[in-house]
Amino acid sequence: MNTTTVTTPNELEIRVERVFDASRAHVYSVWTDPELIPEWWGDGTVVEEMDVRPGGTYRFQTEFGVVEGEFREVEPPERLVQTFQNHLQTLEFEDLGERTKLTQTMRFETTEERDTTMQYGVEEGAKNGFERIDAVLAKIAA
Amino acid sequence: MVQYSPTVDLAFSALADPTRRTVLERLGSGRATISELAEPFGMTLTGMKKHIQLLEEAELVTTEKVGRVRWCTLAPYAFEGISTWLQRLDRFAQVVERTKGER
Repeated sequence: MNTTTVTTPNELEIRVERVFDASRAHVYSVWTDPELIPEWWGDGTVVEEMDVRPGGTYRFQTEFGVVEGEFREVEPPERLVQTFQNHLQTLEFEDLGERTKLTQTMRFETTEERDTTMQYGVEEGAKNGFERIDAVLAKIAA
Repeated sequence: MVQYSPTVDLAFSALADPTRRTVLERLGSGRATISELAEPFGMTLTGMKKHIQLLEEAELVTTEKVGRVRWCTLAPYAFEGISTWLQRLDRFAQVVERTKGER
């Protein structure tokens, strides 16, 4: 199991780093291919919109209700900036040959919001999510 | 010494948080999804899931999956336990008030 590292690099951000045993194109597609979204968001997830370009929006119906946001920067396969729930999320995909390192930076409007989110177990949430993504990546590679 | 059910302890502990009290008020006007509840607080799904889990353990909220969506609702008679406890305390206070000065 690859290690998930969670840090707070400054007053407004949370940074999560994780290596995946898959090519960069595959890892990038997990966040952008509408067919792969239900694979890790959970059974019954329906992608209603997935317009992957700057200013485009995404909208999923999940078990937990509607999840939606807007893409701000789209640079396949290395960088994605999107709004996600209460924060702005930057996803950077670094090519390590057979593997890919993901750096996910979550930027909040206030330190208070950042700290509240941190308090609810970002590490645990990220680890569980990344394990599901590992499974999706294994499936694509097969 | 009166025995209290452990859920009364959990209920008071769940009610000690302002976010969870607001969630209960919101659920008073009808069922909601986790994302609907998270949004007004600017909270993540993970954060709201934790709050709902605590409210469920305290038996104040129930969740049910209908179709593909999980809905949160106030539990039937959710506040009966704590309300009984508060009413008894209130009666004691009234007795103290009435017998003031009497020895």
